[in-house]
Amino acid sequence: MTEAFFFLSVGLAFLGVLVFWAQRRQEPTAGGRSISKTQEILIAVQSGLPSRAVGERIFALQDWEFVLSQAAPPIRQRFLRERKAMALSWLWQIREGLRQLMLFHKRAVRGSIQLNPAVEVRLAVNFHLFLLVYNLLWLLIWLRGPFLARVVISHAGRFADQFAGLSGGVLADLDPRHLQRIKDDLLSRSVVA
Amino acid sequence: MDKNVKYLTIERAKDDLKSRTLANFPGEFSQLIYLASTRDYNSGRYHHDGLAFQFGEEIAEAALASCHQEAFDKLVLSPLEELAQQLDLFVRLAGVPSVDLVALWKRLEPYRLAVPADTADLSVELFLSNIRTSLAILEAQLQMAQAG
Repeated sequence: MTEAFFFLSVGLAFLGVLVFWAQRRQEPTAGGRSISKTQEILIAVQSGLPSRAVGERIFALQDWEFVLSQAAPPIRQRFLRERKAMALSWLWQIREGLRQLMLFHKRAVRGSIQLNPAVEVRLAVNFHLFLLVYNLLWLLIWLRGPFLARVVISHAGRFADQFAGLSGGVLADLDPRHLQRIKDDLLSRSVVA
Repeated sequence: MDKNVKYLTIERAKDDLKSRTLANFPGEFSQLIYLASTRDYNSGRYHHDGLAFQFGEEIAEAALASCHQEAFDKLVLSPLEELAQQLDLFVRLAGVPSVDLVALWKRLEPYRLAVPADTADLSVELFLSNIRTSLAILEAQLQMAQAG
C-alpha cells in the first residue's frame, strides 16, 4: 500500500513537472525563424482546422439567452440540439487536425539529425493535455450542451495553439522538399483508404 | 496583369460595388441576398453588367465573389439577435406580406442559395441553423401580432 502510494506520488509529481514544462511561454521566434514562416508551414500541413471565430459563435451564451427570451420551447430545443451537434463537430475537427499534424510531425522528424528530444517531449505532453481537455469537453457538451462548456474551450484552444506552434517551429527548420514528399505520401494514403 | 495590380483593381471594384450598389440595400442580409443573386445557379459564376463594363469581366467576378464571402462571413459571425433583426428588416421591406414570405422561406428554404460556394461546412450549418431559428421566432411574432 505504502509502495503504491510512493509510486503514485512520484508519477503525479512527474506529471506536474511535465505540465509546468509544457505550459511555459513559447518563444515567438526560435533560431532566427520568423513567425510567418512557421505559419506558412502550418497552413501547408494542416489546412483542415476549423475557424476559431466560428467556434466562439457556436458556443456564444448570448445567442442562447436570446433564444430563451424570444422562442417557444420546441424552437429552443431544436436550437440547442443543432448547436450541440455543431459544437461536437467543431471540437472533432480540431482534434482531427491536430492528430494529422502529429502524424505529419512524427514522419517528418523521424531520422532527422536536428531532432531535439526536449521539444519532442513537450510536444507529446501538449498533445496529450489537449486530448485530456478534449475528452472532458466532449463529455461536458454531450451531457450539458455547448453553452456551459464554453469556459473550457479556451483551454483546449490554448493547448492546440501551443502544440501547433511548437510543431510548426520544428517543421520550419526542415527541408521543404522533404515535407512535400511526406505530405504527398500521406495524401495518397488517405485517397487509397 | 501583375498580381499586386490585380489585387488593387479588385479592391477598387469592391469599393465601387459597395458605394454604388450595395449602399442602396437596407441591411446586410439584403446585401447578401442581392450578391447571391448575381451568381449563376449552374456555373457558380458571378456577373454584374456595370462592374464588368468598368473593370472587365474577370475583375468584376472576383469583386462580387469576394464581397459575397465577406457579407456571408460577417452575418455568420454576428450574434443571433442581430441576424434576426436583419432578417426582420428584409422581410418587412420585401414588398410581399410578411406572413407569406416567412411561410414560403420556411418551406422552400431559398436562403440556402445565399451561401458562397467555398464556405466551410460548419459555417454553412451555423448560418442555416441561425436562419431557421430567426424565421421561427419571426413567424411566432407575426402570428402574435395578427392575433392581437
